[in-house]
Amino acid sequence: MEEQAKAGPGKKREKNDDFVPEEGTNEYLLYAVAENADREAFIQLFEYFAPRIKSFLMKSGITPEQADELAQETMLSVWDKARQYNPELASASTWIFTIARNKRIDLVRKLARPEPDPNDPALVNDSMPKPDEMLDRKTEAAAMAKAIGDLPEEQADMIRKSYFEEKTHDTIARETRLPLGTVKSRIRLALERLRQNEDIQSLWPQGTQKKQ
Amino acid sequence: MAAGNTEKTVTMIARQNYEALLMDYAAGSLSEGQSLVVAAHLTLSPYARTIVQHCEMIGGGLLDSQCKPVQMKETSLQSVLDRIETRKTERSSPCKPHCCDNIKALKLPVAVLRYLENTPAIGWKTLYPGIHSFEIKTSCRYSKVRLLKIDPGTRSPEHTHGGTEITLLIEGAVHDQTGTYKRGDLIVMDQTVTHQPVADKKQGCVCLVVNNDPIRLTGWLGNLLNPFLRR
Repeated sequence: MEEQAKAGPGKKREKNDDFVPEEGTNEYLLYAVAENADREAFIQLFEYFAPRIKSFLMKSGITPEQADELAQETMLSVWDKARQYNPELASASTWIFTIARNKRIDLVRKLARPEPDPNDPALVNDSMPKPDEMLDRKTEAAAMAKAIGDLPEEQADMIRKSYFEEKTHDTIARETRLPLGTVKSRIRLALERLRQNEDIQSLWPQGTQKKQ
Repeated sequence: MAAGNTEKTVTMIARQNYEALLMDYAAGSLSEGQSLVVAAHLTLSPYARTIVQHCEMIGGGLLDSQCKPVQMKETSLQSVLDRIETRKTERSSPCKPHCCDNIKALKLPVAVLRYLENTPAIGWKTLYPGIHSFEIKTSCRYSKVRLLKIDPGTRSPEHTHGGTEITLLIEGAVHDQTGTYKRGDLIVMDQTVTHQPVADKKQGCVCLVVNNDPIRLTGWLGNLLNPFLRR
């Protein structure tokens, strides 16, 4: 009830339309697609991301043929939804990952994926003020990639199984015959390391340090 | 066993379970029923949204660096460009779900209301004195989603869980050995835990619960109720 009152309509975090990502980045290309329906920018994005999305999908056991089609579908959604992309909140890689992930769920499990609705009157907003300084997302994916590469193998393996093979922690535990607690603690250690990594710490969304 | 909107000291295990669940959501590996409850929690908890955002960043990093490009078919790019050209309009986002007043009164997040659009009213089924249940149908065969209404002061039977049980508090409050939970708080339980939640003495509670496997009750009362709850 209280939350309801706090989160009145119109208080939702708006995208800052003045924010322009640096030229020459994937974020800028997405911005160009959103603002100007820029075909050339889209082609560049396609050439960079489609082969990676295809690879990502094949890791979960999807055939190359289906993965190709699904990568096309993903890129089509990138075109359609480009205006929803907020360069202050996510890198192009992160945003496109979420679209590819949802396409994979649609195909493999034929199941809906419930998501929170940003226009939901019940949405409880962060009470913390937004920082003046805008976060630069262009280095995010690269920094994250490096941080993942630096993880101990046993932790990186858990992360890959979750993201690539769509396995829940329970399934990983069953398949690897590791105790569930061990799987979860490896994941937690990995998340912790990724959070404490200097290169990416500044990129974490605001307000996450409070529970440390 | 929870984390929610409020600052709360949570044990390492609880935190671990909670983050593991949100990571599974970000990675896209949860069942539909579990995703539904997590999506409802995300609506009510900015903290949870931040964690999911982190975990999606990991996905971005993996896509960028650990997915060695696999060449697309020669015709693929042209095919996408053609489709951009020839399609009439893009799909519009789904509009607000229409639900009956009896459902609206519960102030459920939209993610849940979408599943109740064709439900004329919530017909509570009493499982046990003071505990009423209403199943929310999803297309998922591996999980069961229910709204539970627990009358003030009712102590639910002590139980463990065959799979994971996730409970989101929608209204009122509930407490167990691990703390007190209110609207927006999420309780994540797995087979390692036994708990016996008690609904708040004054307000009782309404919660959204998903079980991946039928829960296992412990104790004599459990033995009595087990077949009942599995229905």
